[in-house]
This record gives sequence, structure tokens and C-alpha cells, in this order.
Amino acid sequence: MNNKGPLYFGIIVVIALIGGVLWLNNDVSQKQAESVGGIASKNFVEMSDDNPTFDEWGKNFPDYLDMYLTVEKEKPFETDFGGNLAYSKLIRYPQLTVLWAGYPFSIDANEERGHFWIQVDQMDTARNNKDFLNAHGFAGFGGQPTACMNCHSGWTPWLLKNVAKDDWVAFNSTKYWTMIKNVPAVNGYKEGSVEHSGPHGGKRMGVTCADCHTPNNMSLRLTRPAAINALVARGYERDVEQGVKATREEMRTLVCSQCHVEYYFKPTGEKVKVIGESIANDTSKKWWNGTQKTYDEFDTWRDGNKPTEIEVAGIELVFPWSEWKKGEPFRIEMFDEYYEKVRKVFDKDWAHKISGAPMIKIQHPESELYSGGVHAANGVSCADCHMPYIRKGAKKMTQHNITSPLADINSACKTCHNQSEDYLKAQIKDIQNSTAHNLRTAEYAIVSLITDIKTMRDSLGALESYQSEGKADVKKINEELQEVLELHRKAQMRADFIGAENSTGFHNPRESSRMLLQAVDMARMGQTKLVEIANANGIADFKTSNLGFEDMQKLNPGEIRYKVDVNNHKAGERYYEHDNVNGSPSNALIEGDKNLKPYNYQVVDKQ
Amino acid sequence: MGQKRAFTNLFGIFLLLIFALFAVGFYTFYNAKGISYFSNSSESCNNCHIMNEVYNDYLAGSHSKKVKGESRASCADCHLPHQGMEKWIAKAESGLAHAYAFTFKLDELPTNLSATQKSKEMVQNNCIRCHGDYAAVAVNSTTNPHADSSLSCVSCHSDVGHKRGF
Repeated sequence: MNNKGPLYFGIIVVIALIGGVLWLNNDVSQKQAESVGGIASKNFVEMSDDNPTFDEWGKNFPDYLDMYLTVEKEKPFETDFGGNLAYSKLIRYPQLTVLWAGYPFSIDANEERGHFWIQVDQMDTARNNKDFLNAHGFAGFGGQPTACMNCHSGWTPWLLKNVAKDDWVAFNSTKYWTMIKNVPAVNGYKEGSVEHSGPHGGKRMGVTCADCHTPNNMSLRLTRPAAINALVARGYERDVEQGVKATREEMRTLVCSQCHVEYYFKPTGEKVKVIGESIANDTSKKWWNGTQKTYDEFDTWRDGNKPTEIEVAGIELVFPWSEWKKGEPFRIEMFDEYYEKVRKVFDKDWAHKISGAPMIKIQHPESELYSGGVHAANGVSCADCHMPYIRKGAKKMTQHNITSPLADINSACKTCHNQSEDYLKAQIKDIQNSTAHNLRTAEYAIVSLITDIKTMRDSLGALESYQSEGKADVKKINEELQEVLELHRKAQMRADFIGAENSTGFHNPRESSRMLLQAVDMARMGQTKLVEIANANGIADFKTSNLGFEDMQKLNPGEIRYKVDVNNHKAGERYYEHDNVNGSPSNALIEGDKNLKPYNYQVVDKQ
Repeated sequence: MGQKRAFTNLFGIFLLLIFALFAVGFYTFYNAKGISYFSNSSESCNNCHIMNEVYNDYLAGSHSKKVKGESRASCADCHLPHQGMEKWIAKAESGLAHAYAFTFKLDELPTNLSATQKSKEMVQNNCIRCHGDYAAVAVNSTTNPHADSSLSCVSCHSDVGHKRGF
């Protein structure tokens, strides 16, 4: 009896060891299988452009879907100049409220937060809320057209084909809120349900697999006509399957160039038939300012509202690239030349509310800036840094949680750069700090110019020679200030370019510096011209201003709130429903900005 | 009597299980290509998928070029000591550490690896072992291991083994 005890113990130990070894064997086999591919072959769904949802395509690629959806659940993070926390850029950089005065961006501009959220953000932004804009002094704006949706929705190719019947101009010219009502319900969701309105397969769905991949072989392709047209104008050859003829290496950059570019809506000069809404005939439905509603700012057809056919002025989404030839680095002067050439049909995005200058708003021109940088020259694609190769388990994959390379310097940079992560991070920080210093210098200089133009407008308006019928004559004043207004337009185009570009100079530090040097030069030249104008008109007390960080902080607009009662919202109520959107950036970021201009090397260089 | 028989049966089961343990143990060892790790061949280092990129780079480099059917240098020629026991101790040490990391810590490993101090020293010694004769002048003047800012051979010849000079 007594000597049986150890034997039982021994048996249990050996059984446990066998179990352990079997587990190890299983682990070895599993990793061996994973490393040669290991794609699960069961439950394979057939992918097609009829259902572009990432939920459906992701069934075949669960690991990639998981990566893509990381941003849905992860806690948003800030980097020094980017990240994916949607804080208010107007709170961080209050000077933007002056630079964009008279344009809806001056009341709502948040840091962007990942491809998954892109359509959610477009539906939520105050810039796409006509009633809110009406009630806040932007009566001239009618809300966004479908042209804006080109990059925001994975449904774009489907809607263009099935709803707009391949009429590209008609698609772009339709109201955004009318087009979104046509997104079909798939994956078992009910028409008009909460899920149908959501991001998973529904109307709030952002970028999808299908936007960059071909369904039958997952090769890379371009799906957006604006990108294909623009590349053809640059000298690429059209291709039925992948958009333009290009190598896979080039495609790893071009698929990103479908959207990460400067663009504008070119008026075609012709009327076009598009879908309208029957709400236009319902005299009981009025906008906030009492005028007749022409569409319902909601994502489904409701309360008897039905599609109708209307005629509107045609617009087309265009990238201003024709001066930028294939294989050349981009230069900002190419935009000057381009926008000068089209001035007869498109003279401005908006008229500046304070200076009166005809302004061009630049938006996220990553493709342009990157093209002349050292990484582009060495054949490094967008995907190489933003979608680096990573290991998931034993599988080698491309990262599909597309984000700042700062989130994973090891995978993004160290594939080519042997130095330590700390060293690489310090290099990036140095480039970004110096660009940010230059950008702030340019912005403050342009705000100073705008302030002085305002002073000059008032002074000129008080002179009899610039009046008609006892009032200041805007036309006469504009003529006198023409040269200064052009300098304002061009200087701000340059500062805006670097401000809207998502790398704070990193994509091409030299070109960023050159552009910002020009911007400062032009703004200060504008002030010099104003002094000449003051002298010529006998205005004795004119002085130029030189505003800085503290002056800008006084312009802090705070979070967006309703100023009046609109659409069941009370005055004073916060506009955004989600706390993490449109809030303040962290104090550390503001403190960092404070030290950048003037450049406090004792703080900045020690971080 | 009954008790003794029960004991014998139990002992039989114990022996059977020991045999089974050896059987699955050997099979697992075979499945994990355990024997290959006793060889000097570079292919065995590439058993592990984590080495694919480096291995491909090595194949494109000068050291993998074959002379009389043998590579000029294998992974082990540069990355392990050459003296008898020292080699096997280093091999066992890194082998066990690698096996542990791949089994339990695969998700924590960085995409791009960096060499440890120990590994750098082994590589440096191996450079000198083969090239010392005619590189002695350079080695003696620039690679003094006791000087703080001394260079190693791969400081300059970083692409020699594989393109990624870790």
C-alpha cells in the first residue's frame, strides 16, 4: 500500500509531461503551417463589387480585418503633431480661425482619426450641416456635395455605377445627404435600421478592402475616377483592370494617392440631371432661416420624402495635377500655374472674410509633398512605412491598421535603418519641430498681414476717393490692394499646404522649408506693400503688426456649441455627441507649441 | 498477493507511459527538425520563419557563394564561436532561448531584430578569424575592444553577411 503513493505521483507527472510534449508538438506544427501561409480554406465567401463591405470581404481575411478594426476599439492617442485623437485643431492652433475666416473650416476642424472613422466624421461634421452653418453666419454654404463622398465611402464605386449610372458629373453634383440615402442594406441588415446607418456595412462605412484591392485576386487597383483622370493627365496610361498601368511597387503608393492629394470641385459650366428630394415641394419644411428645405439632412428616406429628378449646375472632382508631369518631383509653383490657368472657371474656394482675398484651401497633399522627398527617390512606397511588414503569430503580414509610423518605429523604419529606435525617433522629432517652427512663423506672419489689410481697408474706406455715395467702395479698395491680396492668397496656400499635409514636413523636409520660407517672404512683402500704399494715400498712422503665440491664444474658439436653437438642439449645447471628438488637445502639446515660436532651444532640444 | 499484482500492473502502466513520453518526445523532436540543429548548415537556421528575410539576404550576399560545393561561410561560421566546447555551449544557450521565445513570446518579438552585445562580439571575432591575416593592420589600429569608440568590422562592412546589418 505504502509504496503505491509515489508510483501514482509518477504516473501523474508522466501523463502531464506527455500532455506538455503533445501541446508543444501541436504548437510547432501550427507555427510551421502559419509560416507557409496557413489561410483558412473553410467558409470562403466570394467577394465582389456588389457587396464591398469590409465585414464581408474580411470573412476570408480575418487577421487583416482585425488589424483594420483596431482603431474602432483602441484608445485614441496623440503624437506631437498627429495621432488619431480627434481634438479640435482650432483650439490647438487658434490662428486658423482667422486664416480660414469666412470658410466653414474656421468653425469646425478636428484632427483626423483613421480610415474606419472617415465616413462617420463626414456625417457628423458641422461643415456638412447646412442648418448649423446657416445659423452660425455661413448662409452661403449649402452643405457638402457627393463629390466630398468620393474618398469617404467604400460605397462610392457602387453608387457611381448603380445610382448615378456611371455619370461621373451627375454623381459629384448630387447633394451628399441625397446620395447617402441610396446606400443599400446588405449582410442581413434591415433597410433603415440602426445597423444600416452604422459603419459596419452601412451608411457610415469608411474605406474598405475593395477600395484598393481587386475582388478576384486581391491585387492592387485604383477605383476612383478623379485619381485615374489626374494620373492620365500626368502621363500615365489607362488600364481597365487596375486603373492605370503601373508596377506593383508604384501601386503601393498610387492606391493612397486616390485620396491623399489636393483637389477642388471644378464647375463644368453645364446643367446636369441628378436625384433630388420631394421635401423641396413640402412648404411646411423650412431651413432655420425660413427658406424652403431642398433636402432632408438625414441618411434615410423618411416621412414620405421620396427621390425626384432635378437639374443642377454640374461639378467635377479634379486633382490640380496637369502641370506636374510623371516622374517629376512636385513643386508648389505647379499649383500656382495650374490655378492661374483655370481662374476663369474657378477663381477661388472662398473669399476671405477679413482681407477679401480670393482664397484656395489646400487639403491633405501627401502624394505631392512625398514625391520629391528622399524616400520617394529611393523607391520607398507609402505602404512601406504606413503598412510595414509585421509578424502576427508566425505569419508575415502587411499592417492594415494604417497609422503613423511613430506607432511602430521598429517595423516601419528599422527594415532599412539600422540605428536604434531612439535615434530614429529623435531625427523625426527634429525634422517635425523645425517644420512646425517654420509653419507657425508663416501662420503668425499671415495673420499679421490679414490684420494689417483690415486696418488698411478701414483707412482707405474713410477716404473720399475710395467711396461711392458716401460709403466705402469695396471694388475700388480691392483694386488698390490687388497685389497685396494676391500675396495673401499665395502665402496662405503655402502655409496651408504644410498645415494640411499629414507629416509636419517629414515627407519632404527640404521642400517644406522652401515653401514656408516663401510663405513668410510673401506675407512680409504684403506688409511692405501696405506701407507703400499708406504712403501713396497719405495715411500717416499706419503701422505693421507682428503677432505671436500669445496673441493667437486670445482667438481660441473653444469646443463647438450651438449659438441658437436649431433642429431640437438648445443654444449652449455641445455640438458633438462624443466626448473624444472636438475636445482640447493635451496641455503638453500646447506647451510644446508655445516653445516652438520663438524657438526655445533650451526646452525643445532637450525633450 | 492481490496487492502485489495491483502494484505490478500499476508499474506496467508507468513503464508504458514512460515509453509513450519518449515516443511523443522523439516525434516532436523530429517534427521540430531537432536533428538539423546539430549540423552547421544555414538551412537549419531558416527552419524558423523569423529568419526568412535575413536568410534571403544572406543567399544574395558574398558569404553564401559556394566554393567546391560549400558556402564560403555559414550562419554558424559568423554567429557562433569556433572552439569545441565554447561553440556547443553557445549553441545550446541560444537554441534554448530561441525555442523558448518562439514558443511563448512570439507576439512580443519586434519585427526587426537587433544584435546583442554578446552576438556582436562573436561576429567580430569571426571576422578576424578568417580575415585577420591580411586585415591585421586595420584590425589592430581601429578595432581595439578596450577603446570606447572603437569600430567593429561591420561598422563599415555592414552588408557583407546580409543586407540588414543588425
